[in-house]
Amino acid sequence: MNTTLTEPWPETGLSQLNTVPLDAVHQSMWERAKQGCSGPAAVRQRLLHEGRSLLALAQISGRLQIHWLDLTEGLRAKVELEAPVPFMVDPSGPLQVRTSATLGVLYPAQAIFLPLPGYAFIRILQPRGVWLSNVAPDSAANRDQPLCLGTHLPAGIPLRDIMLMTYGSLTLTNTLLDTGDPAGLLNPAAAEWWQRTTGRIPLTREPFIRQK
Amino acid sequence: MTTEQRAVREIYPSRGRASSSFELPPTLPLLRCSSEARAKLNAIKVAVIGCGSIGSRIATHLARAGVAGLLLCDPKKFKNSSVATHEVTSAQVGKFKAVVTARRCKAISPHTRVLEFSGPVEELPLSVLADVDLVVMAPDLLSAEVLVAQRCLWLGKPLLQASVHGATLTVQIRFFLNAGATGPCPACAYSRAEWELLGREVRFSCDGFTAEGAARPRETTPTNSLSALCSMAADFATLQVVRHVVEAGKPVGDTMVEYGGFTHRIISSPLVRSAGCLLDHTSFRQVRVGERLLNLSPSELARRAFGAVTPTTSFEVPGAGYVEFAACACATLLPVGKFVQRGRVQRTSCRRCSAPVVPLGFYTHGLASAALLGEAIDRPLKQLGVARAPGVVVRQSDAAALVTEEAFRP
Repeated sequence: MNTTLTEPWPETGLSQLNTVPLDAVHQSMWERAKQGCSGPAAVRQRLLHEGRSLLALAQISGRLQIHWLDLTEGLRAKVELEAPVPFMVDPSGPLQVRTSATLGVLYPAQAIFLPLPGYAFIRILQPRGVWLSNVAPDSAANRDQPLCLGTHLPAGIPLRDIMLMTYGSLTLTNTLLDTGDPAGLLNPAAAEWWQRTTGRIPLTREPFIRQK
Repeated sequence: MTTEQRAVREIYPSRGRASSSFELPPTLPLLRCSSEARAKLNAIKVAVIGCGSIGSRIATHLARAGVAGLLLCDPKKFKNSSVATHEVTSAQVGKFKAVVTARRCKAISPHTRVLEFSGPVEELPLSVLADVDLVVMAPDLLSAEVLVAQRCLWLGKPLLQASVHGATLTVQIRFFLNAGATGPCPACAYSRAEWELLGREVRFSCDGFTAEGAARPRETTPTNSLSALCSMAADFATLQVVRHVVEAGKPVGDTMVEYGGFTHRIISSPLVRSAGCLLDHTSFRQVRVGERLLNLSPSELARRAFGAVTPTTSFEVPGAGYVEFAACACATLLPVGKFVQRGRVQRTSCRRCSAPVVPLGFYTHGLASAALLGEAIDRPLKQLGVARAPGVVVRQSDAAALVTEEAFRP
């Protein structure tokens, strides 16, 4: 069957993030972050690349806002992701959906050359009580809930891919419901809950990069 | 095993042995080295990381050479199969490798100060490693190899790496001088395949059995080594150490010696630095202070190390993280501004919700910059939550220093 592509190709694709000229706000963030970047040349170069890609992604996506970016010790950024995020203040209460999530993005220098566990990259700072199978329950052990993107992510995975995977996970576009699957399951109760409530999946069908 | 038990311990002579009866064996005069050179060997302190079939033999060789100090590190115990490749009997099965080897070394050379650490090398304090003159490593994990290589680069410690490949009867001894930022390190020679093996945490074990006490399943690649091959690697390694210390023959620094058992050929080749190496080749300056570190503030430490605090100054207390914010059940961001020992259970509870106040992972920093510390930079470390600090790493631009107490003795 032939299909016709009705949407126009985006002006800038995800593969050309480094060619995106940064606007004044992102450029100044970039300049500030660059000053603190340290470590071996190869590591520094890669962190700078990932930092710039994140800023460019924020600029073209229309749904990502960077609060701050720090390259002092690996990459660390506080970002706001506009996406429907399910949460439950009380596990027996109703499911609520927030329109955005505040995320702590971590890209340790070791991630460049070592496969790190899938929970090493994203912490959900807001909302509290995110109710997803691959997000650790809001408990005394995890107040900033780690999001698990798999047992291990490949060494040198681009941060852009991590952000896309995060969007897919939070919005249930990529669902993980198997309670027996050790790859990324952090909240079995949430997995069972979503197995019973599949009618609400996915929470959005919007692509990551918003169409103009 | 708890963190408490994983301490560096000194081994003392067994009762009934008169330490004063020990005399240096007459090995060294055969080298025709001067008494000064011999004194150098008697004064050297060596760390041996990995007390398996190669490392334990190197340790006993060095004890026989009468070195001043030995620090032996290995987290594992002897298994039944160890008898095939290690110098142990079945009576030692189930005992910690580092402890057994340390006791043997102490029995051979009571004058040698022998320390053992039966924990993973990751937990060996940097300041303890800073106290040795040379590091020998023969671990079975690439991650341990990389970690030791990184620490030796930082501390500027010469590093000898001994390994074997059983199937090809090959012995490989690599000696890294770590004399400056331009020298090579083990990771400089890593290919993509080695990084991939490192990522998979492949263990290179003599027998290939599942490692005891491994935190999670790891792949194990048997090296199929013969006891004699491991012994030969240890012999070659010790000779390289002695040649380096007494400066006998051509310098061994930044060279690799390879012995092929099928051809009996020995090849010596230079080791070179890779510009794309992912390890940090910065050498730490070592700064000793007369006072207790806990009484000094981060700004004072920076002044002692670099003369002043600049915007690029940052601090690292090994084993601790600087917690910027914590959270409880009712509050999302509670300012903390203190160093917290990693793995320590927090006993502070929120007055309102009575839930424990937990450091937030995202806001816990291994490296605390001057900007992050803010005014706290002028407060003594003990007021910033540091309970014990054998050493503090101070970084500034591309330079770094390890600050320790003058009186520090592992």
